[in-house]
Amino acid sequence: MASQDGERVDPATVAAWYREHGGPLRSFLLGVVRDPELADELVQVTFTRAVEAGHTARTDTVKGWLFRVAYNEAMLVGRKRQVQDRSLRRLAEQPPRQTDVPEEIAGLEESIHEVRDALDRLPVEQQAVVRMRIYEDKTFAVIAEELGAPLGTVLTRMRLALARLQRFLSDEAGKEE
Amino acid sequence: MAEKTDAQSHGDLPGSDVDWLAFEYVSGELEPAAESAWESRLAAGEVEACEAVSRAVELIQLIAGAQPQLPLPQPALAGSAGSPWKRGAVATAAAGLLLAAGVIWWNADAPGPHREATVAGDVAVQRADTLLAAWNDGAESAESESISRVDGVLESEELVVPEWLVAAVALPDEEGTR
Repeated sequence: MASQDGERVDPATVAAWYREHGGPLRSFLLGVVRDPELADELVQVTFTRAVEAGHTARTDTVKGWLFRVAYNEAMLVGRKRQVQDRSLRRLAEQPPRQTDVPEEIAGLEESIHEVRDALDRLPVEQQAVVRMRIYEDKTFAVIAEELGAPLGTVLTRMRLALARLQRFLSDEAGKEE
Repeated sequence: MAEKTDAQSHGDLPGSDVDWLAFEYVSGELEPAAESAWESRLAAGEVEACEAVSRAVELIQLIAGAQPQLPLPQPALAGSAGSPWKRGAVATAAAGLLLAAGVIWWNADAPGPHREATVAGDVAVQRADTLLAAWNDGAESAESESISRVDGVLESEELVVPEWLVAAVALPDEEGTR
């Protein structure tokens, strides 16, 4: 894994890591810092660290190593700027994947259609909670109050809805493979 | 909040606890103690927890993208003419022009006593023209400024492209050939 000088990792190796883990890593960082520009910056920093110190990661733990470095860099670099706004709005405004590749854009649009279909098939009460939490950015406590339902019920509905959507997407991804 | 804890511990619910915790973390709904515990898992590079955060973010974005009345957000272009401020300025300038044109038309055949009003109308037209031209110049210069700023960055700072990024772009798409 390490290059000839024994300390830096071969750029081709880091490039392969980037291609394999860059997307999930960016999503992860976006979830942590909630700032797309900062998330991009941190992805860069993480892979720069990988060139410098990636040789300390074992092949089977590269992903964990990258996540750990990314999180710690987020804490170092992003702490001051971090997450004043805990609303989902900014996160939801971001496109799911940043890509210029036409096939990936087409795949993304297809995924969105599939999610829309899956949402339509959810029970109405679950749809309502998803809509209020993600589209209207209301907290679960507010949703419970507005629906006149116990908080636990609202959380259960959201959890069921997310699990169904996640499972549906996993099934679709499985079919593609 | 006791209800929340109960809901979290429902073992018979579908979907993993880690996915639910990740969603609660991403949506800022974890309580401080639970959030600290969760963040220590992330700090340790626990792949399952980190991947769950990635999945939660991507699922939220897909759901948001699936909202019927909202198209996928497009990246904003610098100097784009679509901003509300510019639309307002254009509307104001156009209204001024129309008003001035109306004044001129009204006074076109007016004899001596109304001559001052006509002159005022001419001035109004000139002002409106000037305003519109100035705004156009401003808009153009704002655009060129944003472009030259980008150029300036390219010219004044040495652009350092990391080797791994060059390699990532240059390498054939291994996934595509699998």
